[in-house]
Amino acid sequence: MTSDRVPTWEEVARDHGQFLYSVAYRLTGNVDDARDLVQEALLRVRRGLATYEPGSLEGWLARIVTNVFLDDMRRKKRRPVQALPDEPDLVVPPAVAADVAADRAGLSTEIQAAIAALPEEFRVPVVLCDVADQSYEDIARILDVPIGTVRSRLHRGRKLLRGELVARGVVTAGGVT
Amino acid sequence: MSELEHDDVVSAYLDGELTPVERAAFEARLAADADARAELDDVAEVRTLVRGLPLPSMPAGFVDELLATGTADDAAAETGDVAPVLDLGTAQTRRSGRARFAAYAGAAAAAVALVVAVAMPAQTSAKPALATDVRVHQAGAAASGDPVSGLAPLATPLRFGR
Repeated sequence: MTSDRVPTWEEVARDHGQFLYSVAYRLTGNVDDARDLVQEALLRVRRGLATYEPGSLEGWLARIVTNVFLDDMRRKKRRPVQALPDEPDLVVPPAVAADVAADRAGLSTEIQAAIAALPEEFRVPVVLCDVADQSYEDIARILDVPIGTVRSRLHRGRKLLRGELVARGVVTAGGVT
Repeated sequence: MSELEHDDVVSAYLDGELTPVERAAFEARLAADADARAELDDVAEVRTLVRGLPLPSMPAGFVDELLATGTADDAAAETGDVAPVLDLGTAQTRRSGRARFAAYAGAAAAAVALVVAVAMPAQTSAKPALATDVRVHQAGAAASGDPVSGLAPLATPLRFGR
């Protein structure tokens, strides 16, 4: 989406919440982490709207939600051992999105699991390209890497993803099962 | 062309990211190379599957929750109070997003309550206005025969905050 007008925060939350959530959910693979990601991203959107220059709003939002995701991944790598949750309800397994529950036996659950199994280095370009519909140039800007790097990571990510899908029986050498 | 370059070209071709010259060269290769065609089919299949995924359903009321929190945050910002910035780095003990956002909204709401308490007239200055209202209401109620309003003057002290 390209617009000459700077949207309000409420407009971003209302009109682009689904976009943010879709990217967040495909990156994280579960509802709770996706919620966290969107909430944190929207806080950054609120802070950043004053300096936002009208252009590709979804590109800007994709950049923010990706940065939040990567920041979180870096923190988890620095501190991989998590303390026990301090709230009893958090021992409950993560909630499952309605479409996932309804489609548990279907392809989308397996495909999402395969995406989540990708190393983030390859998962992020795949999600930005095939879920957020960003161009290679935009992805390069978001990740601050050369376009050639985007090209190779994206292709390798898709090939790894294919391997995951084959392992899950979703596709075979002959096509979708 | 190296294997890596070949690999790169397959996805870039599917995504329309090749220059006209690159595209023409790759299509010439496809015409002559069965392996390249097979790889193109494999990658295209994966790409189609991911792009065809349905939109994940957002949790019920999620956007309303975000909007409500934003409103509370705006009110807090007007007071000059700084609501606590959520930092995922502090969440290694993993409070849920809902809990963190509730804390955020709570802090904002507390700031609003503080401003209301400060901005409203003090209790001593509020009493005369209330007493006047009661007298006016009683007069009107008596004239209209409202039995409840005539029982006793309102004496409930105004309290703001806790």
